[in-house]
This record gives sequence, structure tokens and C-alpha cells, in this order.
Amino acid sequence: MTLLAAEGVTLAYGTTAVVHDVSLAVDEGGVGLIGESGSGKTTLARALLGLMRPRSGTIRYGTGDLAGLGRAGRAEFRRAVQPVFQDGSEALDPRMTAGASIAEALTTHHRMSRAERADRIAALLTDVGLDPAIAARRPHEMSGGQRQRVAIARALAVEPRLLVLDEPTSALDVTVQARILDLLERLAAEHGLGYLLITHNLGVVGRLCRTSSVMFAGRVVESGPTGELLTRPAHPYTRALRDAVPRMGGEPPRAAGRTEAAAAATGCPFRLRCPLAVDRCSAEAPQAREVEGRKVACHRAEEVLHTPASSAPRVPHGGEAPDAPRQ
Amino acid sequence: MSLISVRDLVVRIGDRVIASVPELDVAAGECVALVGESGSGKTTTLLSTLGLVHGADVSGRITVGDVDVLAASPARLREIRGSRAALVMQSPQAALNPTMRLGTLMRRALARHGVKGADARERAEEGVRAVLLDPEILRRYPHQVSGGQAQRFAIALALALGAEVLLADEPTSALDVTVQAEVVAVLRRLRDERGLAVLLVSHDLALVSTIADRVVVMRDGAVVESGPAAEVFARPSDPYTRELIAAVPELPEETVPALPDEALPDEAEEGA
Repeated sequence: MTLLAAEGVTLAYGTTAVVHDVSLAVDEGGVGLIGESGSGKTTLARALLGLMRPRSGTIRYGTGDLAGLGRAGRAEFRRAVQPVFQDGSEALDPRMTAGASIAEALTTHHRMSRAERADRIAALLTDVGLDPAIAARRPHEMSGGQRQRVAIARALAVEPRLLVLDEPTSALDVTVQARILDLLERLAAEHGLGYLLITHNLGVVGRLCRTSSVMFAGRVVESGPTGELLTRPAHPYTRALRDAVPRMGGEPPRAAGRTEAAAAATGCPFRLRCPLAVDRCSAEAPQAREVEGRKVACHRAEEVLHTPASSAPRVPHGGEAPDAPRQ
Repeated sequence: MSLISVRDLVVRIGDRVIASVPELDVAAGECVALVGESGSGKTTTLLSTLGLVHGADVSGRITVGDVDVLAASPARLREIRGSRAALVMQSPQAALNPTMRLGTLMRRALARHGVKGADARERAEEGVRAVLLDPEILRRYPHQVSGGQAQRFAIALALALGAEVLLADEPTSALDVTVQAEVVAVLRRLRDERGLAVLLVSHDLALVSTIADRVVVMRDGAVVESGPAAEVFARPSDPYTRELIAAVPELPEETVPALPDEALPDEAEEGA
């Protein structure tokens, strides 16, 4: 069941649109949102959290339009949809102990006695794998992983239905990252939580998300089952992202080339970086269409899908990088 | 010959040892990676090699080229930092003066080393090309370039100054994967084609496995394992190394289905 969705959403800062006509549904499984910095993924997350009004399109919460919610409805929405950011310290007041931060969230939405509250805080901290004694500490007395766990406990305190996770592990050491991902996976299953996971790390969505969307320059260029996207990318950009991920003992990651090339204003926005771009890509912006179980916005998706990875045209790197000097 | 050589390095703050490295060598054309988590002592070790650890007791023997780092005069240290060894940090933009065009920055750095005029221009352009940037970038200000370009420019600056040794502290952690890949490609190329000695600090083992010739795994200030990268990653002997390796998120292999006989892709798409 869809809990939260963007439907044809366009978002702008001032007169500059940064998200164009994006649709995305978050259901009870995990949904991944992948893209580089500047792709619009965090802006879309802000809109899904009700922090930004779409210029056009709708943010749908349950069966209604978020913009049409009354006071009570909005309060309920703010409880049900909880954000978790990259760095736990952003979510925690540096002057407050972990216990006080969680208590603040608890009492905003529920009335409870002091004893009940202490019990609930201890239970939440235990649930995120921390010793309840950490309740007495302030953020600077904790490690990055502990802070992120406290931030997650705080989000869970209000019994949300959905988490919006914006790069929740990017600032953490790899082993801590792995434990936080384990934790999120377990909590989502135990609490029946839906979640949107925003990241530039394909390995992370591969583990946690049933479906994923890939954003480039404010548009969703490919979406579908995560396994399909990772093992059989249909958009050249998805493939470039995949190729760039370093793998243990694998080939050196492939530079996607021309990452500084701007998104094209006409035709396909990816064409200036695309190794497959042809005349049609400048003339006509590809519309998202169904291709073998996913939606993809590329004129040449079938060729991408059916070209063996080893012989696929890729942007070369090293001496032949296309941004190599002229002359 | 080793361009960086460390023996019996011990860095202490009060009674606490924050890094202890018995042996570390980086030869020309070689990349050695220091891996471990926050607090493992990897950055301290890297900074020690340039005499940049302050407020701590550093003992042992460190040589960069033919310079004995712990015995060198401040002037001699500045000279190695400027021209022989270059330090590349996580956020390059923070290291670039925002009020100067990149070309001006480069020219001033070169002038400090006595390189001026047409010679300086040539060195600047050559450095920028070596990191696969267009020399046009020299006309821009730091805020007009991306994080990956700024990182590559920082490397170009070091090259123009004639660095033989590159010390890189998490040079790709703040970058997108696609941009990371470009920086790694540049580092590999400089190591292979220019014979740079690269000492890399990273917590990203997958990334390290694609570039390092040898790795040194650190934990709580001590070396827990070291050896040729391929060997350490294939047969880690220390449980901590195994834990680090296991923590790397797996990406499934790419598969390409054979074309179905009856439906060629072009026909499956209407109106293409």
C-alpha cells in the first residue's frame, strides 16, 4: 500500500526548477532514491516531508493531498513521517542529553507519566542497540554511530509509519555503516515501517530497498525493482553509477567521464555525458516508458539492456577522457 | 627506492599512544593504503610523515626522499611540503583561497618556488592536463568548480610544483561515486605514468582494493595487519580486517540476458 507519494511533482527554488515532473511512491517495503549531488533527491525528500510546497503536482499522503490537510491532519502527518539525516548530530540538540531529546519527541505527541517516559526511553534505546545508560549523555559525548542510533530512537519514539532516510550512513565508518543498515532493516521489519532511502551508494539500496528510482538533473531516469536496476541497468546513467562503484578486488571503478558537463537544457538531459547519445537525443527528450519490468527515460534503453557489460560503450577515462584538454 | 620510509614511529599524547607504526615504506610508482576507522591513527601516521603532528610526542625515524623529517629544520620541512610531497585532503575547496582564480593560485605557488613567466604558465597547464582537466579551468574561481574538479586541481598544483610523493587523506570521501571514480583514475595514472609514490588514507576498503599495491590495516593506533593488497583482501589474517571487508556493501554482478529470439528490442518498442 502506498503511504506517501509524489505525483508529477515539480519543485523550484525561486524561479529555478530543480525537480521536474517526478512521480515516486513509498510503500511498506523500502524504496531507494539514487543520484549524485545536485540531482534533486534531497529537495524531493523535503517536499515529501511537507517542508516544501510543489510548484505543480501533488504530494499524496495515504489517500489525500498533503496540501489539503487541516491542522490535525498535518500534526498526524508530522508524527507519521519521520526524517533521519546524514549526521545524527543535526537532529540532536547539542545541549540536551539523549534521554531529553527522546523525551521531547515523546511528549510532543503523547501524554505520559515520568516513570512511563523513563521506561519508554530505555526501551527505545535498547531497541536501537544502545545501553539505556547513554540517555544521560550529550551528543558530543557519543560516537557518530551512537548519535545516529539516538536520532533513529528519537524518530521511532513517535511510532511513525514511514522514515525518510537521507544518506543515513554516509558520514560513518564502514563497519558502523553496516551495523546501522542491519538496524534499519530489522526495525523496518519489526515495526512494519515503510522507508525512503536516499543515497548515492548503490550497494546500500541493493541491500535495503525492494524498488528504486534513479534521478539525474531533477528527473527520474529509471525506476523499477532494485535487483533489476543493479544487475541490468537500462539507462546509461544507471550503468555509469554502477560502473563507478568500487568493488572489492574488482576492476578499477570506471570514471563516468564528464561529470562536470551540465545537464542539457533541450533533448535528453543526460546526453552531454552519454556514450550512446545520437542525434535523436538532442532533438527529442525521452519520455519514461515501460521496458522489461522497469520505467526508463532513454531512447536506446533496449540496447543498453541487451549489450553485454563487457562490450558496452562507455565513456573512456585515462588519457582519452572526453574532458581531456583540447589542443 | 623508498620515497617515504617510516621506522618505529610512535606518536603519543601524554601517556596515550595514538599511532604506532613499526615499518612503512612507499616506493616510487607505488600506492600504499592506510586503512581503518576513525581513531585508528591512520591520519596521524600520514601527517607524521610531513612533520605536521603538533601537540604530540613523535619518535622514531621518518624520511621523505633524503630528508630526515624529525630532525629537519622548519625551513627544510616547508621545502619538502611545498615541492617534494603534496598533501591532498578530504575537502579541497576549503584549501583553496576563494578570492583567487585557480590560475593565480597556481602562479603564486610556483613563484614561491622560483618558477615564473612562461615557464610557470607551461608548468601550470601541464599539471592541469595531467589530472585530465581543461586548462580553461585556470580562469575560474574555486566556487565555480565542482568538488571533483577542485580535488583534481589540488593534485595538479602539487604536480606543477614537482611533487614525487602524494599524501591523500580520504580524497574521495566527500565526492559522488562517479566523481570518486575520476579521482581514482587520476591517482592510478599518476602512479603508473609518472611514478608518483602515493600514501592513501581511506576507510573505504573497496576503493582501496582497486588502487593500493600494499595495505596497512590500523586499529586503535596499532597496525593489526599489513601486506600486498591482493593477499590481505583475499586472505585477511586478522579478525578486524575480516570485519572491515565484510562491512563493504555488495553490489550484485551485472547480468545480460540473451536476446529473446522472437522479439528484437527495436520491434518491442513501438514507434521508435
